[in-house]
Amino acid sequence: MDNLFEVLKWIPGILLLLCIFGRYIWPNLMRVWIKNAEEKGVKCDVCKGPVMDREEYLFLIPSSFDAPHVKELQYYINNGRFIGDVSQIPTGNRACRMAVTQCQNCGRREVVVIDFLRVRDTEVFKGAEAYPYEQLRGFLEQFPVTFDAPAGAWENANSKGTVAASPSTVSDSSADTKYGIHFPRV
Amino acid sequence: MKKVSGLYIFSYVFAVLLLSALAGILLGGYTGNPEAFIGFFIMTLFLLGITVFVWFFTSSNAISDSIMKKTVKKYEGSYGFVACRTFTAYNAILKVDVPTGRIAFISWLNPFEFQVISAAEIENVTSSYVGGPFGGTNYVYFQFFHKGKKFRIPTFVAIKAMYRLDSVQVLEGVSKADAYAELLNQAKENAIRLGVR
Repeated sequence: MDNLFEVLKWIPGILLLLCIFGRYIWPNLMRVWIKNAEEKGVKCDVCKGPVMDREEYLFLIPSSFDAPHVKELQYYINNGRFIGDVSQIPTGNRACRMAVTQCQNCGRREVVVIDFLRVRDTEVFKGAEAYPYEQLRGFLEQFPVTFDAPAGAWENANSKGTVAASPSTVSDSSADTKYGIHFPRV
Repeated sequence: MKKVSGLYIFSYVFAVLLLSALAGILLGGYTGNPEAFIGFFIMTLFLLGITVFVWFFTSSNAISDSIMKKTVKKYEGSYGFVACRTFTAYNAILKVDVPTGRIAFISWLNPFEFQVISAAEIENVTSSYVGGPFGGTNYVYFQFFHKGKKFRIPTFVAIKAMYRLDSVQVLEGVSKADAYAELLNQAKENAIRLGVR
């Protein structure tokens, strides 16, 4: 019985410590972890070299609000309607961004198809998949590039041998880091 | 437009009274004690009253929902509201026919009436949310005024929890509210242009 009281008297203190940890320490640890992950950048699946955005295309898709995300690439190819700018997305309409990324070491290209809903100034992420560039090359070449890596960005990145994803030289829309997630490679 | 039908509310109350009286008669008669009739009547009235009250003021009114859907099916063809944008909330069904500038409204407290108005009559269309503690919300809506009466239709409702304003659920609700507010304004413009009355 005495032992039970010994344990019980520590419970409020333990709960208080847990609350402090949950409120102040854990969020800061997560913040540091996310910041480190962002600084490291996205790595190539094959050679683990740094990957950066090369070009980006924007399409309207016939879907709205909370409709489920479609994973088939053919759906985006058949139904995507090219638009030049996010301001052209009608309210409540879903859009998809096809971001072409390239590895700095091996030159391997990928296309990340990101399905999102634009709400006022924010983008609600709905789903994304990555595909080999060859699968979408013919389709993407029909359209003008919505976003292109600025002149000199590639040379700078190659000479430094790093990801060089500073916001001043490269768009901050790097597919993986923008939404803080990793996509299933198809 | 009428949001509440007195006859519909009265029929609810009458049904409760009738069921209570029936229970009182049956149980009072079964026990063979005439005084038991009053006791059972009051007891069933109390229990049914609470049930109906809760039923009415939560978002799961199955009777109203089914009547509203049947009303829509019955009248949408005759009023020409088949190919239009429809929003179904717990308290109303709103159909907006943008090209012709007309709006159809079916309220959950007046579910038998398919009310059609010209969008030119609506005013002050807005979308917003009800703020809660810690900067969250559990209610996102769009609203409009018709002849001074406010019609508020929720696009996101959470009964037991508050959601952050940047949560996916709230942002989707905001998107729906914005889209329908925009549609109502477009319908209003068309109604004024076409002179729909």
